[in-house]
Amino acid sequence: MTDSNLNSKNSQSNIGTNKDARIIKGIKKHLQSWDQLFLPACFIALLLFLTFSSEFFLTWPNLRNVLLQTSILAIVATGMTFVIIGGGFDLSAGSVVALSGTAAALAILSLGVPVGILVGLLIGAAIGLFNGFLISKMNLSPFIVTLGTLVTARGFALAVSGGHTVSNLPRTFTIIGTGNFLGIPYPAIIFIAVFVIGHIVLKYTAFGVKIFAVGGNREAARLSGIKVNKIIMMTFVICSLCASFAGLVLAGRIRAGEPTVGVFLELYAIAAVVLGGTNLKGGQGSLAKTLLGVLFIGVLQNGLNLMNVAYYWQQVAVGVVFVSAATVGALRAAR
Amino acid sequence: MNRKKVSKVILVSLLLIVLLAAYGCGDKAAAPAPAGDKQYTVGLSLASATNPFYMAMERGINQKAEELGINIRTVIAEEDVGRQVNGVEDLIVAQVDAMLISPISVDGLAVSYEMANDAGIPVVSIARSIANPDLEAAFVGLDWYESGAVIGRWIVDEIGEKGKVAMLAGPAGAYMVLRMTEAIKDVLADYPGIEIVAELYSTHTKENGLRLAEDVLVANPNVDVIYCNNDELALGAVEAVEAAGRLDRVKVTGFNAVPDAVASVREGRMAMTISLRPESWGKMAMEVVKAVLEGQHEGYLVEIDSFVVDYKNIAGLKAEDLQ
Repeated sequence: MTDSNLNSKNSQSNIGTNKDARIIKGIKKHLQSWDQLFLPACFIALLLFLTFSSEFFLTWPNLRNVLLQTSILAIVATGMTFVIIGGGFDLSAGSVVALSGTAAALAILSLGVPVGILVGLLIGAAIGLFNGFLISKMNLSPFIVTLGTLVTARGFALAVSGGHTVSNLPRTFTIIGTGNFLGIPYPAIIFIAVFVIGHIVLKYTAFGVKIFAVGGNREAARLSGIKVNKIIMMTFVICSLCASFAGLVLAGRIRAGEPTVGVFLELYAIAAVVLGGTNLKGGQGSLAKTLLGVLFIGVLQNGLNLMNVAYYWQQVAVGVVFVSAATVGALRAAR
Repeated sequence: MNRKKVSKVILVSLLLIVLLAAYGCGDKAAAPAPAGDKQYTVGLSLASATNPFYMAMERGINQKAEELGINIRTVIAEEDVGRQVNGVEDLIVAQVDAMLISPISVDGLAVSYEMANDAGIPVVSIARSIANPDLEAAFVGLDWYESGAVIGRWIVDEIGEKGKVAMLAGPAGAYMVLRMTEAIKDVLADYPGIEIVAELYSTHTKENGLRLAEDVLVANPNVDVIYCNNDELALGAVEAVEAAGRLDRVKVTGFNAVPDAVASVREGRMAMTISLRPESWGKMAMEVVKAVLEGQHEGYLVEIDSFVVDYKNIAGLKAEDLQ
């Protein structure tokens, strides 16, 4: 039976008695909630599987690790969710992580911690503004523009550091990557805070609603009086700001500004967003979904390491999971 | 069944297949222990899973580990510091008895070494080391400066006290690159007739070797030697020299003696390379790790054997000499 058949049958029966209608409505609702629960169910299955296949998985040191290891990806993915809901995407995030971390490290050594952090974040904001301006005002493709900044930002990261690692960062800075509060690592606390703030902005502010509107139908949003260009520009600024923030946390975590970090990080971030069920076409999605996608990827990678799976097969596993989830998403959307 | 159901069945079964396959591939660590000895598990974190040099090293490590009855848990960083830090944390959680790490960054990995030490896990470095030897139980490697000096002296022997040398120095900032470049410059500085006409930095790939050597040949038509920081660069440079029709006049030097480079020396294309015997290197490292585990290791640097492979000795070399 095809989906369209099913739908027409449903609508036919809707014309029937009230009782029928209520039952069918109930079933539909039930199916929808099943839809919502699908990825969480897979995630729980994965957790159960790993619990049984590795004695180390369900231990506090390991769960702490998972939180720590997903924190960088999670912060980048938060910003990426804004851009994707607004109908774009950003390939430069990984390079921005490297450039912000390296430049901030250099600035910290010469100008102190507060200025250094400011430098890192300002670089992120500037790159976001540049991306957003070309994409919204000049109407260029996000692919071309952010591919350009991907290469350029990486080049700058290598240039400002001369290709060297910038080390000997003061403890007052590295604490954001290495410290913990009641046993919970700071990077994990930071990523949860970023998520919560992002969630509130997306869901409960006028700005958030406008992002959905712009991503869903740019023309309609324009006609209803939304300043579309400004909104798009803002989403790119948020994305690059998140990336530069992640760069700072990463620099704290490895206690050095390293110009080579974050290669492909943007692709994993996009994967996490899509895996969670946010549509790459824009106008739909949520940060709760992204959180699930991020944790899924983090737990999968951690679990495969604990099971001593060869690197090549880890790549295959992550790729297969991602493509399968995207396929399910597409089928769901086509319904 | 409707499409949604089909898609769910597909996803769930794919996930299961992958995980089961992974389960099959993984946990080789569960080999039975030889009677009497304590069963050790060693965590291994190498820089790359695709570089032939590290692949040979890993082969040697695994062979020796099997001989000694030691389990190996492997995480691969694929030249990404963040990934290596994560991998080492996973090894700590898995409660390995010791670690063998080839650190990608001299500074960026210090955190991981500290964490391992705090957890009571000794760490041995292989091939590359970190800036702070206090955190390392041992370093199985070689003196990069001395290796660079060997290449420098070979160049002087070949071209005499006059000529032009171009350097494809390798990735900027890497400790090994700094030391080898420094050593070669120090040796050549004693001969005013020898001029360094180019000093170019890039990652270790054939494409980079080809591209940079092409540029060198255009800018310096009468260059005598192109020094390359490793064999991948050198293999690319050899292609460029050959395309320019100057194989008879320009000597290309490599480093590592990977099989392709040895073949190239044999064919009279590459002039020289240095054999580091990565497989033996890996074996030696496992012996050091065992000694560390049993509290019998002393000292820091355990130097490996290396030797020059060039047109003069290539005929007498057998495959096992290079492993």
